[in-house]
Amino acid sequence: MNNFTIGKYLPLDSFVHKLDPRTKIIMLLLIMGAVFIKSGWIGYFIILGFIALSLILSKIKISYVLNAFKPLIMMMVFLIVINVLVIKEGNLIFSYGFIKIYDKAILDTLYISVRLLIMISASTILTMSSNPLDLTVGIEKLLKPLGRFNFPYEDVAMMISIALRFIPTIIEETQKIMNAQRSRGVDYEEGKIKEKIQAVLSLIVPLFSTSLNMAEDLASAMEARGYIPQEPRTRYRDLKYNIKDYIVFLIGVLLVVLLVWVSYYAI
Amino acid sequence: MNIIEIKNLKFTYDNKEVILDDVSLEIKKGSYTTIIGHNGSGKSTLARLIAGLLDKSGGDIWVNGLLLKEENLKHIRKEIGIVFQNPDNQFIGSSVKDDIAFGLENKCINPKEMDDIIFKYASRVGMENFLDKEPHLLSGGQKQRVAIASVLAINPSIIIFDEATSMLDPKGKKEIKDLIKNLHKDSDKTIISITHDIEEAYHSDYIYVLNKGKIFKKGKPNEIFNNSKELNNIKLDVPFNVKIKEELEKNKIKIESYNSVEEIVENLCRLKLKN
Ligand SMILES: Nc1ncnc2c1ncn2[C@@H]1O[C@H](COP(=O)(O)OP(=O)(O)OP(=O)(O)O)[C@@H](O)[C@H]1O
Ligand SMILES: [Mg+2]
Repeated sequence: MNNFTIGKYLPLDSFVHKLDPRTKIIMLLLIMGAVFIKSGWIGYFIILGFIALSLILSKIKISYVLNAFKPLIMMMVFLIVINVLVIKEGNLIFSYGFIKIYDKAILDTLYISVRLLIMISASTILTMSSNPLDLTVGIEKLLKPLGRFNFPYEDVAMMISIALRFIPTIIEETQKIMNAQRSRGVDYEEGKIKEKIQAVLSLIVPLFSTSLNMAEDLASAMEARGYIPQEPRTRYRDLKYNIKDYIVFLIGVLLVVLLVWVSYYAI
Repeated sequence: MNIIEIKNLKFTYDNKEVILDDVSLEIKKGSYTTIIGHNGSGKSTLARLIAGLLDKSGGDIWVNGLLLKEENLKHIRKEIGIVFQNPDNQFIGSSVKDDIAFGLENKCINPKEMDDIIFKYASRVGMENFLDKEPHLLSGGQKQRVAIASVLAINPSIIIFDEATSMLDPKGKKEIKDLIKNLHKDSDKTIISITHDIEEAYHSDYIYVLNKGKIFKKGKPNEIFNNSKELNNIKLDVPFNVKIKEELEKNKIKIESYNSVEEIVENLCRLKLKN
């Protein structure tokens, strides 16, 4: 259970926590888009400043956000190394055997790293400051216009909320099965590759069968409590925009306008 | 009046193995009926058929005078609630209050009224202080209480418990059993309990014994448990007090009543005093 804390909801009492989840999702999308406006380092500083401000307003400790990067470090290092080695533009600044590094490569890689930093920290702030249930309702409401094109937005939202509900149960189940198999002598930590594969199979097969049972039981329970897909139902958790959300939207629009202005006139 | 009537019900999953064969039964409104039988005798299947979760292969089911068929399904579902065996797999919402709200949402209840309803039924099962708790922070017994509250919130006239206590520890078992008993006493709901708990069956109003997809025996508890050999043949036990009674009778000792072990002890002591 403990290794599942990345981006996990932190119930705090803050300005950002009290925002409507839809506002936060839209702001995240806005930032994701804004990252691609070619506004140079000035632009990135503006966006980073905005993220820093959201972090302060959310009362989330910066170390929590940094933790979210941990599992991604390997991937990022890999990306950076590949980038530095592959891009062959600009002036050659370092050469050792077949390794040739150009100044443009370093600059481009820096840009990409900053973009990743921005996107990951922005999404982490979103998930840490929003109750997953409200987030699901927010996603459902934002997807609602797609319903006109027969997009099953209600089903998608139901699927997300059920997945969220069952993640802890499945982790618990996994641990139970692992303990049961350990007591029968299965070793999950050491052994040859062949033994390791066998160990993993001894975990996956029962896990798969429990999950299927779980799904079947759950479907019965839902049906028995009157759930019929695609039939109208009310929602216990309802969302409402209030004045704070409008202010944040306004700031978001200003941010984009500023970045576009920078991209045209300041560089 | 019978709230459930079943005539010549047949069921098979694959047209080969017959799971339920010519099952007929009646359940009185407001009664506490238990269904007992060995593993695989078809008890859960019967429960699912009554609740319209499975399609019968033959025969008829009436619920509250309404024939169970496609057009009536929605209406009949509102009359019947089921509490299943596995506490985790029937916890649909991500927290206690969301779980109780799920059925209300399906009934299209106004969200503004939901909090009151949720509180009312959570209090009924003693979970009112756990409304925001997530399922993995609750014990099995607590989860079953929530399942009961969720079913009560839909306000069905019939509640089926399909081995609702079998995955709980002894303390949880007792709590849920007492809760069901009180529920039956305080409301006019019809209770159908599928159980392996012979003592629970002994204290119910009426018993159906299922064996290999057929009704093996039906009747009041005293009628069901007057022949332990017959039940042992289909791998069912009889309550402890009935066993003592049979042993006493073998030894030609007669006592007035034997409803519980305590009663038997008391009666035996009196007998001793008399002699
Ligand atoms: N989905 C299924 N497909 C095929 N056969 C099934 C299915 N579910 C159950 N059965 C079979 O139906 C028969 C009756 O099962 P059922 O679950 O109704 O028994 P039960 O009396 O509830 O037993 P238990 O006391 O173990 O809960 C069993 O022989 C079982 O193998
Ligand atoms: Mg069963």
